[in-house]
Amino acid sequence: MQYAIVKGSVVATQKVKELQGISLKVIVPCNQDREPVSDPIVAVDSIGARPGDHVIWVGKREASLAIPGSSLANNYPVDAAIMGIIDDIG
Amino acid sequence: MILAKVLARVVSSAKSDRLPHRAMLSVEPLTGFGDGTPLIAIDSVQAGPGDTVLILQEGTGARQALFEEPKDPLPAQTVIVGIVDDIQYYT
Repeated sequence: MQYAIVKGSVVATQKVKELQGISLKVIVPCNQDREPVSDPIVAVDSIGARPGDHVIWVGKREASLAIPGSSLANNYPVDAAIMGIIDDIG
Repeated sequence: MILAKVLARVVSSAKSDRLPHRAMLSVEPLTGFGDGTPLIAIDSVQAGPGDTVLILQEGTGARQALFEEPKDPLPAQTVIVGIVDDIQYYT
């Protein structure tokens, strides 16, 4: 899992049916000190993160397992998911 | 698996309910094991800040390390699976 900052929301009315009802956010991967380390990506958000939040995200196959109700054998077409909002590092 | 140093504990109250109730630690890969960007790892061996640790980065193995019932979905790949006492490099 990696750090990111939430930069914005994505609104997409027309999307594949598996993604309907799922919130999308633009996040910028960063380090512990909120300094960006790569280009922005779009991640699914089941936590309700807000712009500016320092979050934990997961990539690859495991991102689909963050969607509530998904099974191990799911087919959700996602490759990044926000897993939690960071309160404190120390 | 890679080697990393534990930097700090990460506290997150609003997190996915599929993550286990385990400590999350900020870890920095040792030189040569990645691009230097810190990762967040779930602890399975009671590691703490300052420890050098063994990090697994694969979802199926992570599930087996953290869950008694490995069929539960785990949306994470990064797990601490060992505390390193010593590393000897051959010269």
